[in-house]
Amino acid sequence: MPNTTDIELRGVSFAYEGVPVLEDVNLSIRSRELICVVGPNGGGKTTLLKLILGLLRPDRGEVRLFGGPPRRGRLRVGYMPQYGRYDPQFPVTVTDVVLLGRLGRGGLAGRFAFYRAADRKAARDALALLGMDAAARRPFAALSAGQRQRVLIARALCCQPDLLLLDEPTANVDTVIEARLFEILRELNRRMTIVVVTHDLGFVSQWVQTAVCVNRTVVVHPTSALDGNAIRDLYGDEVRMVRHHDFLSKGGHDDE
Amino acid sequence: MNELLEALFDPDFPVLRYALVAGILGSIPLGIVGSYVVTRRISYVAGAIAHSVLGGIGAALYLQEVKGIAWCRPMYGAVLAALAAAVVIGLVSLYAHQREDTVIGAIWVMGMAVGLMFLAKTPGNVDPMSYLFGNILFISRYDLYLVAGLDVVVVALAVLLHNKLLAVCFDQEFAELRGVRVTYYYLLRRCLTALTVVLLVQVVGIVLVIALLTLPAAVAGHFARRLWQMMVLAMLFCMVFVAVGLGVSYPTDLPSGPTIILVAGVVYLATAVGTRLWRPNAA
Repeated sequence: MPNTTDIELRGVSFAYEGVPVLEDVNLSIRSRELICVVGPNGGGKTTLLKLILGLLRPDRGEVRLFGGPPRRGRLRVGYMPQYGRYDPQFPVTVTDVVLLGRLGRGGLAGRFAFYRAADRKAARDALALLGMDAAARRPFAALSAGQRQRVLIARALCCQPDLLLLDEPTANVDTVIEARLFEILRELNRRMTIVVVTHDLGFVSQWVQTAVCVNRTVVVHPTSALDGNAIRDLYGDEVRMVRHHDFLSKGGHDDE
Repeated sequence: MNELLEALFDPDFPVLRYALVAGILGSIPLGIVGSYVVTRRISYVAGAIAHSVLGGIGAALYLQEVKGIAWCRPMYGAVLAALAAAVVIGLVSLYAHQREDTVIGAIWVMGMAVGLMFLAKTPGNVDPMSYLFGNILFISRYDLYLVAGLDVVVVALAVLLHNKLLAVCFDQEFAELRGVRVTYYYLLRRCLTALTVVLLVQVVGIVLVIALLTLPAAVAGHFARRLWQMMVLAMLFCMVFVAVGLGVSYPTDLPSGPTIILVAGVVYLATAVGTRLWRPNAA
């Protein structure tokens, strides 16, 4: 299994209604890698994930997931979207949300209404791993932003994936929880490939093997380059890219 | 009160009994579908479907009475109009980049206008008001069977497909990634809404259907932690609103539909204000 390629993008370009977001992206992520995706807001990080998942189709180029079309491979992926797009009044408990990760399993139970004992156990285990088991019966809406993110990571894990895609899992958590999260991810990395979108490269650089910098184009910095001067180079790159972005769209920098 | 109970159990006077049974049976699909409508924030869509039903009823009555097409019953026109409205609104929101609320508003008013035009050109004393506000006291035994049938369909689908419908309502993108065919469930939900609206419009009128679709579910939403709890609570609230409304309107000789609506509306406003006062930090 190791040394096979999980994700492959060849010459991929994508535009939202005529505005180019990604151009000529080439990217190859092998099995059991731990990858960090960085870049400015609006640089195309989330778009990259959605292309990998087949939620968006590239205008040009080809995306392969586990060697096939994304739609076929996506059941093997655990995806954690950004937390902010949920209706805060929707009546669901934490367990309800995590159990969604068990959809799409075969058999009658998967086809119809009822989750099996194994599904409930997987949900409990995933919540326990992220330290959210005490909140299992609470309304999802009553949680803090950071807690909701941990629940969404638990839901992604509940899929029992071969590939974990996390979109900004540390956007609203303090550094203690962030450190704990990356320890968990490194542990999980023995069993699965992990791709994490983050804004905080300096902090995660001690854990990641490879950083993928996304800002309309994609540049990959390998593990060995991620020390000393190279990190400074990377930061330099980042700062320049951020300014470039700011220049293009006024106010696009507010959230950072 | 005694007079009310006597009327309710008088074997020669089924009117009030039928009205109450229709209200209780109708509360079941209204609670379930209403919870989807309220959580998905598509009350306006339900309103548009309900009003376009008037166009279908008007056209069918016109064809039947004026053009002599005997098989063209108002029910067929209503079903056709409701499904057409549901599909058009669904397609617009799925594929076109129109302002969805404007399209919904257009279908709403055009449905009504078409209905009123046909009714005006149809001889006989068809009162458009009877379709708008209905009259729960004119219900026949046949209507009750119809509503019971609707109960079976809606409950069966809601129970069997609960997990997937919940997934699609809460997080459509994630549901798609888990292999759920979201477009199919989206249209299924819209068709269930249309079916519930059509059948109950015949029974209790357009305005009462919209009121009982949204207000009990909205009240339930203040108390429920989970979607199925919201549905069950919405059914119970709906039953209570109908029973109280009938109980108030019968002895006082007030129109039953508006009375039920006002009972539901007052309770909704009271809970909306009450939850804000008692739990100022709640979402």
